[in-house]
Amino acid sequence: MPKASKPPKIKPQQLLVEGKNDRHVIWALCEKHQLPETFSVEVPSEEDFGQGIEAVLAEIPIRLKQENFRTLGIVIDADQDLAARWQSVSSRLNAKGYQNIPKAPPLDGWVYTEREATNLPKVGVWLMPDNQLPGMLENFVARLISEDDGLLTKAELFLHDVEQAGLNRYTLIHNPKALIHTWLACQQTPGMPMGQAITSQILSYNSPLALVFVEWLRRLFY
Amino acid sequence: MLNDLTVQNYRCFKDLHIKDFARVNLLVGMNNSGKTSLLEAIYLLVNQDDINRSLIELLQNRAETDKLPGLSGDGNQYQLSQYLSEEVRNLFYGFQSHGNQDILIKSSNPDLSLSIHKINNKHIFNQDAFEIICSDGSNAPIKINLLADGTVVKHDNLPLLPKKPSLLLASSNLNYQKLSELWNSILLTPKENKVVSALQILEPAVRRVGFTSYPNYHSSILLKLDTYPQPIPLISMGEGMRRILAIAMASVTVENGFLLVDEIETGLHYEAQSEMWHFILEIAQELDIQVFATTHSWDCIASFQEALAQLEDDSIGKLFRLSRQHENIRAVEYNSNELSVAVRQSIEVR
Repeated sequence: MPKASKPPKIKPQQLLVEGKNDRHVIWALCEKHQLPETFSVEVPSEEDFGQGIEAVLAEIPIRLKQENFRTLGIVIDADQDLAARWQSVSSRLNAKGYQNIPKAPPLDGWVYTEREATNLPKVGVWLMPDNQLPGMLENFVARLISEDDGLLTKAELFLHDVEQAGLNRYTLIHNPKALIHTWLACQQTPGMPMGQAITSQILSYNSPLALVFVEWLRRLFY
Repeated sequence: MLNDLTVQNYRCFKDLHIKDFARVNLLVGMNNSGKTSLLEAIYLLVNQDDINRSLIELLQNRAETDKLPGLSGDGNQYQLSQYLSEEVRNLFYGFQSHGNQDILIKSSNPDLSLSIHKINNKHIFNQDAFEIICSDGSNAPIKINLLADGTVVKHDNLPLLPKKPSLLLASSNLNYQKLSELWNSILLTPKENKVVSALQILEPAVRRVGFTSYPNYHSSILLKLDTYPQPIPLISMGEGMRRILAIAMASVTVENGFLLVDEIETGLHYEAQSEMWHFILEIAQELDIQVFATTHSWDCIASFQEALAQLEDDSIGKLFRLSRQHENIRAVEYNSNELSVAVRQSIEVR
């Protein structure tokens, strides 16, 4: 007999992300920018089965139906096809009554602004890394490294050699993951998780892309 | 089965529409969102051929009237409590029966409707008189007048379609008299075994149920357990046993009809609730019953989902939340798929 699932807590503002790493990176950025905790960061448990994106998409309509619900933020990886990913999230929102969704994601993240008229919960979408390029959370985090960082270039070269020699055990799509963790492996405390690296300022919370992301959170939740 | 429902000016519902009911419907919502009122509205609609009785029963459940008034009269005219008209007025949205705001309860599939509106009664001032009109879409509508002094006058005597049995189980359990009446109707039939199997959810040793002729005595309902040589009074067992007995008896006695249960989880542990839902889902399909139940409990929702997910056809169950937005109440629907994601992820549906 399965155990009863935990009764939910009332959380009128939620940010839905694909995985636990997204959550820690976002928590760290919020802390550094002193954003008050007015929203929760929700991770689907299917993450373990490598279905993060499918689970997120399935949860969107269900979360939007919650009683007295105010705001849903959605942070997902663009992966290889940014346009297709945008389409899959905007069609789900469209089915719930959201209209005038832009054809492509705005550079500074999308926030639904017509909620007064429609009475729908406020919604915002951010495609990792920057709403323009294909990629994932790790690409976003790599852009928190200062541009003149010699170690990053060296790590890129290292991975290039590894891949040339066919020694990579990751699939090539996951090169950005390998890159950020190679870079993190060479810090004073080797192998620090991404969120902690932001908290301890090894990664810059003030990089231009981080500032755009934090501004999107502000527009959405405050 | 009711496919859809419209309720206007009844209790807290100004204008409620729900469509696509399933066979087994779990209703949730904040306090005062109208869950019990929705059960009542359905009860009145499906009991329209016996509207006096269902109306009084419903007022009694809310304790708005003390005891069932004696139904005396010649079949078309009864004398009921003189307070009845005041109580009926309280059924109207905003507790007032003025203007053209009639109570209307109807479904389009099947075609059933019931309306209550105020009529002028010149004889008695300060009291409202009402006309109730019932229709099942096939015969001429039946009209019943409810006068201010409590007199009920039935105008036509054309029978409506054969009555479908239905029971409204309030959060308090059925009393001995009602239980024993139900028991009489299933005695020595296979349905008796179903009731025993429902009791086995909580107490696997139960073998037989017996009713005695001592309604006021503590041993009015007895159980035979494998584990004891002598019969054991039901009352000596927990609240949950009485709840399961009431639910099981009610379900097996409304074949082809409707079972309405308020706060269905009362007294039942999570694991027992899951078994109870198995029982209800199975019996609803087997005996062609449509079930409407309310709950506040997350455990109850989770156990409903769990039982539903194990069925080959999980479309037979749905959850509806009554959601209040300012003056209006609307229903938000969750199918089995959505419910399973919500339960797994602890996403609130209440």
